[in-house]
Amino acid sequence: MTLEEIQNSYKEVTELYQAGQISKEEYVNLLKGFEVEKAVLDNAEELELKEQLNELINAAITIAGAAV
Amino acid sequence: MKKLLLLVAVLSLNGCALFDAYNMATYDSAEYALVNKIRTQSELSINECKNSMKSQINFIDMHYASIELRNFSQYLPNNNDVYKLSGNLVDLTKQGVEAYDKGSTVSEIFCKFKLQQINRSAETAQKAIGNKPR
Repeated sequence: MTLEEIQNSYKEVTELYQAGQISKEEYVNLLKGFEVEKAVLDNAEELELKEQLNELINAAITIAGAAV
Repeated sequence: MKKLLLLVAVLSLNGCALFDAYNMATYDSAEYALVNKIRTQSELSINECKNSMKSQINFIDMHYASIELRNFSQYLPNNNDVYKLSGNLVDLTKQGVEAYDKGSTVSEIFCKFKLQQINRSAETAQKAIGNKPR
């Protein structure tokens, strides 16, 4: 999932709401969903950074171990 | 030279970030299976959006699965990132359940978009969970 995908989906949903194809309640519910999606992106990114850092640390330990 | 640069990059980070990353929870297949269940169910449920009764049950099932994932991940040491992600999935599936709980007719369009939100989020979470260190 990318921020662009969320934005495109938001535009589509807004158009459908303006065309009267979904109710106001449904529209608000979906908008809240986009906010949660953004939080998912941020939290996943944080976890992925930690994973990359973990890999780097282990590589550094291996190098340091080999140098001793 | 490349290895030396790598070592310098790691050593230049602050202690807390290093400690957190070094001690992070490792890959857990039960966690991965649960997030995969939510992703798969959201993908397959799109075909049932025409049937409100079935859709309501589908949303409830996904909500239960996301609560199960959140509870499972909560007390695994150094696993706060997955706990936060599973909390997000709980919020999203709850929004779906609440729409059907209100009693009024839920549109097929809403059903599809809410399932897409859950599906995208579950896939993103799955990718991150799957990359945890072994």
